[in-house]
Amino acid sequence: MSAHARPGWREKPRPVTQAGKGVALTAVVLLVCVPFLVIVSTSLASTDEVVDNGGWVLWPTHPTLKAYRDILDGGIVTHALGVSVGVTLVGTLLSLACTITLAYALSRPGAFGGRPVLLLILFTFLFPPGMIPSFLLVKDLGLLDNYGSLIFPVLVNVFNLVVLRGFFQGIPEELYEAARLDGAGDWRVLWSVVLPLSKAALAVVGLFYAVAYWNSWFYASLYLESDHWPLQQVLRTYVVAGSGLTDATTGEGTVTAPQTVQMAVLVIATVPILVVYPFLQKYFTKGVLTGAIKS
Amino acid sequence: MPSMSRRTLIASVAAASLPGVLTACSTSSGGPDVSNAGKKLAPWPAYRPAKGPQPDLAPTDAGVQAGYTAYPADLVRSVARTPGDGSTVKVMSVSFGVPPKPASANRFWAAVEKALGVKIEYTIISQADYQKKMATVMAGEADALPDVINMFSGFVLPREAQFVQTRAEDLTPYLSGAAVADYPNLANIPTHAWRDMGRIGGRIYGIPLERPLPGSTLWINQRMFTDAGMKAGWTSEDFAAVAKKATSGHTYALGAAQGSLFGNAVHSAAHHAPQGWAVTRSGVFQPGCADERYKAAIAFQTGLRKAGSYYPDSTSVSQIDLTTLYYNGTVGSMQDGFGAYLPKYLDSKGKLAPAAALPYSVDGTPGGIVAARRSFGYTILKKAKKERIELLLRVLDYLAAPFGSKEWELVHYGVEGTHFTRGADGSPEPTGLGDVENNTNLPLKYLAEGPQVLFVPGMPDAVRALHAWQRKTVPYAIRNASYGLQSATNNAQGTTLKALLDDTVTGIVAGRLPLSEWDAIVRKWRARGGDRMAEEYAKDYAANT
Repeated sequence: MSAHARPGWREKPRPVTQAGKGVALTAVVLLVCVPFLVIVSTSLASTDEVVDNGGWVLWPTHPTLKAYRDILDGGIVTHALGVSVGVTLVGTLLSLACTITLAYALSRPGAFGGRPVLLLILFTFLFPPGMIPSFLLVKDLGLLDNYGSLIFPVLVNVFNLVVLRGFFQGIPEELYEAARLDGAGDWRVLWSVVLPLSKAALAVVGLFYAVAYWNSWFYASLYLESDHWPLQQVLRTYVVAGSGLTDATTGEGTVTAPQTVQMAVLVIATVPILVVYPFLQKYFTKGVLTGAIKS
Repeated sequence: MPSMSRRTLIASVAAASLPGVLTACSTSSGGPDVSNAGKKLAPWPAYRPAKGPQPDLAPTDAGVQAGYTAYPADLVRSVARTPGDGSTVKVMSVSFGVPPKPASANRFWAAVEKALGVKIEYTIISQADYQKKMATVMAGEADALPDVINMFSGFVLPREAQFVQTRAEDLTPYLSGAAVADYPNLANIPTHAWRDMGRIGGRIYGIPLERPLPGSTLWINQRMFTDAGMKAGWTSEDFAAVAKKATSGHTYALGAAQGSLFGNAVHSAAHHAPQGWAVTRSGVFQPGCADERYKAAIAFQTGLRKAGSYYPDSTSVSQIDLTTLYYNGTVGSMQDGFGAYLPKYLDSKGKLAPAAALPYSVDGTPGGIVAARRSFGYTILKKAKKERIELLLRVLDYLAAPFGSKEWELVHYGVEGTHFTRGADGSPEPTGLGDVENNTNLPLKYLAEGPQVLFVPGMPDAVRALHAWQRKTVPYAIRNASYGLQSATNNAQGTTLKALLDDTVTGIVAGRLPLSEWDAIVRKWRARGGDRMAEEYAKDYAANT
């Protein structure tokens, strides 16, 4: 921070304090960055170098993209990447559409059936369905081995709904009344008044949905065949491959993917969402807090 | 959104409450009777060894494997005709690899389909998701099941035997006794594999995946242990001394992975403790945990830990990371399955000389080794008409082709020139495509497989060393007497009860708990279901003998 940004009432900091702060901040930054660096470096190292270094490499002596080539060759991971992007985009849009309309309806006083519907939704928050009931439902809906099975069962997230509903309730009633006086119906009010005022909350909720869809892997293993798996489930198999063979009673031995491949997997899984994050981060605190501490 | 039907809702509620119900009602098995007690037992399939290339090192009846120091030059044909009729076969198995390329773009898959004469639709279950996926498969309808299902032996599934009995085809008429002769490669599966798979309600429901006798093995860095004074006929005191001497600075003689209880299987076997269960001549089942020798093994391990011979993160390091530490010399030994010899020898080339450690003797008694279950899971078939079952069995017969046959080579290595080329000694060496399209990623070997042999491509000395090791140790293998027997209590509570013991062993060796705690935990284990398991095993054992 430049010197002139210091308020007049604050003393000029002593060099020791400045240095102390610098050291502390550097330490914190290193704590965050070094593990990332190690992951990227290990993914770029050769298998022999990784073994010689005991599993981790801070700076590869002969960087190679072999691990990435191993993963991306064959088209499985690239196909899975396409699936993940598709599911994340379509899922986020559908989830946002449903959550916005539902939150808007529930935020308006006197909406027909508002209270029972809200209680019903909150009930699912308290008592989420188990794995097998969910599976049977998805099966009966005919969604097995269908990408819809990754979206429809988690279309509306109760937490996101409550945040958005709270945010909508925080918009001054006068604005709604003014819009009504101008002859606007509910759709018009939602589109022209509520949504433009809720960008921060929408960005946060959208990010929550997107991250959830991007990260989801478990249900894919239950509902989809392996050639339809999204990225995270495919990448997971690289990480856990062979790890279950340690059972003492089986003569089977451990066969594992090299550490370089596992680290490359982490990079591929993390980077896309890291790229999106900074653009939405500025809305983050504002959006969540506004919804949560409605007066 | 369509609403849930009433039937679905009831099924859901029932399924959701299943684990609780099982735990609560563990005294009664419930549902169909899977026990073999009081049933007429179907004879095991008559063993008829397949004809093939003669091994360089002979197998023994006691369980030493056949060894091949070079890849057979003249491969035989073990299947006379294409087994399939062009129909589609849905199969499902556990996988330890990554998902295969889709069938349309996978030349390995296409070659196997052509050879089998069927179109294969493969449902891959990553082993990490196996239990959960199987829970949904078992909750689904009978019609929705795949034609061929691999029941993996790594986990105890709740009510697995009941599921198999009600949903899978009874294969007794096709395989029992002389009937198996129609499927020569299935007849080549030795009886011990069928026996360790076991019968359900007296009948044969599956086809076992045969495995060699040695189970958990201590893999050592030969040079490190030799330098520290390892010698033939060593005693437990020698072992402790070698471990202490080989440990210095950041090098530790003993590595152990999370969940391995500091390599407890190897040490308890060396101490001659029963592995899981022992059975007396009068048919009484005794748990290994209540045996004094088992307790002595824990005490011995505690001593090793106190001496600083164990890698300090032995309660938390993963088997994968431990393997890396073994290869780079940080740890001088690790416990792993005997089947790990192939990656151990191939991956450590140029780094170290791996070897299976001979067990040390305790108080003058030669040490034992862990005998593995001879069946690494089994394969069941969905109920179907006779013709269909016969077709599926022909397909599995093809997949069970023995080492040294053309069929084995196709299923294990793919197509010559595409997936592998021949090394100097004639053994298949995977090409770049073979690294991606192979039987790890398309795990046909978990549907059916011929008996395993000792073979390390290009390393004849390794095969000789392993064969010699087996000849010395196999006579002292300690078999878990419960293999192939049914216990409803174990099916329902086995995992929980095992965790109780495992946590205590880890705690004692790690120094968190005193050794005196052990007896109390064993009493607790007995009261919570251990004694009931002993009774159930004894009953099933009596019915099987």
